Amino acid sequence: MRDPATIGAAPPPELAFRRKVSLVGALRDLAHSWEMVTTLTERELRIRYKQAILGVAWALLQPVILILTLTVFIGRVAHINTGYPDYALFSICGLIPWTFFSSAIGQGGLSLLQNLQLINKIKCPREVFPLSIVGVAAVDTITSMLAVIALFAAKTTMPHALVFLWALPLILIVMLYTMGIALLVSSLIVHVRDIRHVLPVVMQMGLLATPVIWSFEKLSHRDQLLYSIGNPLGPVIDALRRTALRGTAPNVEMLGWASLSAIVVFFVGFRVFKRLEASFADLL
Amino acid sequence: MLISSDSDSLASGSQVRLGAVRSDRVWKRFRADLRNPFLIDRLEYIRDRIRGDTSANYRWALRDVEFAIEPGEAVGLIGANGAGKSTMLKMIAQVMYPNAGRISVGGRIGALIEVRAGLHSDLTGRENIFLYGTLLGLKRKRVAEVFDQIVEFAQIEAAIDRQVKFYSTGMQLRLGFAVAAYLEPDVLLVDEVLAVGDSAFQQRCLERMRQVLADGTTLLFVSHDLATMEATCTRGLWLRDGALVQDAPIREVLGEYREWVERFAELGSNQEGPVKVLHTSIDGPNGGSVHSYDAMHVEFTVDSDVTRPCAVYIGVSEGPATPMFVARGAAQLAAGSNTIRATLQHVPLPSGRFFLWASMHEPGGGIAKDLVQWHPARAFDVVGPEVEDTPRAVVRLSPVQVANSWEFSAG
Repeated sequence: MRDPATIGAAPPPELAFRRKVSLVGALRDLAHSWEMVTTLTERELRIRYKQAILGVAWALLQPVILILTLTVFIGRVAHINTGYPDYALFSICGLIPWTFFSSAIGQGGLSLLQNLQLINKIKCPREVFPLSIVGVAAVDTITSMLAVIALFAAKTTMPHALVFLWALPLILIVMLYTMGIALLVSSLIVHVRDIRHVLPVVMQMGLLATPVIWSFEKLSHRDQLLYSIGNPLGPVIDALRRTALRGTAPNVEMLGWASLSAIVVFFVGFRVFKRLEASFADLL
Repeated sequence: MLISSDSDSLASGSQVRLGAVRSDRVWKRFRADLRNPFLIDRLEYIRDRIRGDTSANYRWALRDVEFAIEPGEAVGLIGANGAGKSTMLKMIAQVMYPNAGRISVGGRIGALIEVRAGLHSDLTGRENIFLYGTLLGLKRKRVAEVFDQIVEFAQIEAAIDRQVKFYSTGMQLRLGFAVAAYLEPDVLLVDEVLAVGDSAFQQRCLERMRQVLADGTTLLFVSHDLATMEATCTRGLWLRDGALVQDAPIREVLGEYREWVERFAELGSNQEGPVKVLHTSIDGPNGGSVHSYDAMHVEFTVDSDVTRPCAVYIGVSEGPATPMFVARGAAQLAAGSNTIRATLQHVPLPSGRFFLWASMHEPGGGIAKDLVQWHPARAFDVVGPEVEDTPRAVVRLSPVQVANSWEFSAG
């Protein structure tokens, strides 16, 4: 028998639990848990398409409505000089990456709060939850390609083949950046719940702050540089427009900065997430 | 194979044998006042930290807990509410991290910690089984192999393709348990949630727990049902105020625990209210100790503020507030001191220590006002035959024993 009263008020400092997370090890864990990410993605998609009979249509609805709105109000009414002949095609090049990013962050940011049932019961790398939402957004984006194809068909033009050559690096930049921000936001929200209310406002500001409705190349070189580092979506959208609509090479200098920034954001987000991970179950 | 990793100092699955659980001087604290962590709470926390006062708002839920469980052991975790049992289970399940010390668990962990152990309400039963299997680190093929067993155990054949949110609580519990117990855990954690299920289901769960034990799985079991605990587990860990006070064979721990409950219980006999119980005594037939199958006299000395009719309930339990049997009497209390005597005939109790619980109410059935709350009034010892030993599969809900005789004839 041990008397609880004989135990000190606090643990001796040398016992303090230090969680050592090596980046390589954590990434390897994540690779091991890849099946979980796909399962959770599948789950989210099932839920989504189960609740909504319109299924695929919902994934299309958001970009289509935005394109219509932008084309009518920005293209026709506001007459922004974009440097491109067709405003609808111009804006869809910005909308596709932006919609992916905003839905991944908007929903991925809340993913830990929404999965607290699982977080409280199952041991797994917690990043599978935000990352699976990024996966869902990716699937939705693929679906919304239908809208892109329809738009090009309606305009009876073809995107230049150059865009397919550049697609992979561009997707990679967007993915890394989105995953980094999703990890960062979702873990911070657990600790500071107010972010939840600020997030939609920030995303709305983001729509205007990202060159979705205006043209990136109109910025000065210095501003382009700052943009590429602060918001890698800018040069990616610019590259999409140049390659798909004009068939000219993208601005490689800016893309380089964007990739660097995306990589840094991803690792910072991952690091912060891993640091905060240990306290999730206490707070949820 | 496992979700555990080498990089994570907590989940050192590779260094621990499959099914082994070690808790190495574990401390865990919670912020006492933290409900929703908003920005303002964070700012206050930072302010406190700058002022150098960090410990004020914390409560230690576990303090210096140390034990090692070998693969295949059946361990019962006992303790009062709030003693830290569920926190301990969550840390063993590795969903929560300690503030100090280390926990290591070898292998896959099946945990039934809350009723819907990780079931997702928007998915069907089938999808949930596969999701949970993947989350535990099993391949889909392996899940498919045990799928039928899970469905059969949970008795949800008809509802397997229905969303879990349309399941009854019982169905969710059955599915939750089946999933945790059939997906080949090396360590099975079962919290007191089983009490929610009906008794037939509880029996099947206990049956299944014994099966997995026989297969070499380690079992950690939390329950307030001490008899079931005694029948299922071989070793007991007793947590009190977050400290591990005893780690011994289950019978020994339960014995100490019951005695502690009794000491605690006698403190509770001083009641405040319109009627006060001043004294309670329990005697055998001739004023001595109580004997099995014999009469038992209970006497209360009570003090009432006014003259009133009163219904008296007494019950006998092994400690907890749920009695094995109850007797009721009607009394007419005079203002001032009164004596109430009750006699229980043929007390069906074996040798051992039991508790008399009592309460007094205004007459009028279920919603009648309490005059004295249901409280443990007194402990008493019974002299008589020992409680019958039973094989593992026969679980007694309570050690009531009826005098019995047998006849056998061939043909």
